Amino acid sequence: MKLGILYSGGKDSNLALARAMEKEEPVCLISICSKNPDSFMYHTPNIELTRLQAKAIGLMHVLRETEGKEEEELEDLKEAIRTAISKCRIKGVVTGAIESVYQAARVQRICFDLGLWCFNPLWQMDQEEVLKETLKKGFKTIISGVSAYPFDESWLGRRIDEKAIEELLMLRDTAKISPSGEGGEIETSVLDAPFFSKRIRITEALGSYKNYSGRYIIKEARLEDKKQ
Amino acid sequence: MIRPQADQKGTIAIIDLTYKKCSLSSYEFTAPIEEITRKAGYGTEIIHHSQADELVSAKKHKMAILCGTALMDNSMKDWIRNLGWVLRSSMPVLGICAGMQLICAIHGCRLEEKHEIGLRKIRITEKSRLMSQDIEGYMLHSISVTSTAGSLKDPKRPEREGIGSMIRILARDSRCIQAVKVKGREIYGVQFHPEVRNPQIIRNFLRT
Repeated sequence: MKLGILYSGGKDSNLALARAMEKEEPVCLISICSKNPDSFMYHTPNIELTRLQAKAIGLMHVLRETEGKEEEELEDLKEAIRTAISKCRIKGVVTGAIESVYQAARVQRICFDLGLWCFNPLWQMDQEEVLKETLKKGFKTIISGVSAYPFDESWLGRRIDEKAIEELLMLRDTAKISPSGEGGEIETSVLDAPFFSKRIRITEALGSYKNYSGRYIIKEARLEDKKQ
Repeated sequence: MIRPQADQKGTIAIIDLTYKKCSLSSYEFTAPIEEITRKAGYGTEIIHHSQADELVSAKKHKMAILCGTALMDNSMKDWIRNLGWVLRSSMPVLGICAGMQLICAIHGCRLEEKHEIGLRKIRITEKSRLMSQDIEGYMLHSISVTSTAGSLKDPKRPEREGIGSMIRILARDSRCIQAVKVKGREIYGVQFHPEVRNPQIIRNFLRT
């Protein structure tokens, strides 16, 4: 079945893509660039990076902008999915939703209206398992945004490796944050994965941080061969 | 494959109703049920519905849970063909979403196209071991059970079961029946997805 992946470029949408590749035929990535940095629906830091990620993965990319007004964002998503149907003949959509009934129900309704299958292969997954599976699958993931106590500026741009996972799990126990960022505490960007034909090298980035909220803004990045 | 656990309380057959074995939908509808079951201390065996008739057995399995499937999945006629063991076996069975639709269909209920997506309030009409108070449940279905009887009903009291119904209604929302029990059997069905917001319901069933 040809599928479109709702793609933010973070660990969840990449893990959903990896699972979809094992079972069906992903043919395109669908990304929404929200002008609202506080969007409930869309992961916003570094969404432009998705263009480079799509090139690295070798899938067609549908990228649409939205003003980010609640509920209007959904019409923009519906239009983006319609474009994917028309250009790529998709029969279904895949999301990286884990716990958010808010996000999942809205995408399910859009798919139902458009007569598409909807797959959520990370649904209800244990957050520790999500983090460990991305590492096990060989993802190179960085933290591109934080928005909760006690994340300080040192987390911006940090690679999610075993040590970072250990610390995120400790924060789960001590500060009640969701370690995979399900509550929006962290946002991530994947720079390499086994299904990337090239990896992404960041050549210029800027950290912007204040009061436990910050973004790692990637100003310039390029694809490079994996052998380098 | 049976996944045993140390000190396990028995093995539960987790019936995958999705469109094919090890499908992309299995992650969403079967795996969370298995996880809740294992955390409750039971061993599990995931069996696709196409193999359930030959593989589900009271000798191996203490109980069975029929999991849900995707909104677009309309394999009902295949489920019915493959799940005669639900009627033949005496083991307790819980049907979730499509699982409940199947249980109701094989007991003569009427199903209609009526979809619900998202959270909805559910009202208990009869307390049971599954639920004893009103809840909010996550809906994801395109077909609903709208009548539990294939026989006459009193149009002035539509909430009452029809004459001769084999099904007791345990809960409703404003649009359709949300939970049922087969009379004389430990067979239950819930239309909503308890694995999302109400895993206690699954644990309550496992204590049957």
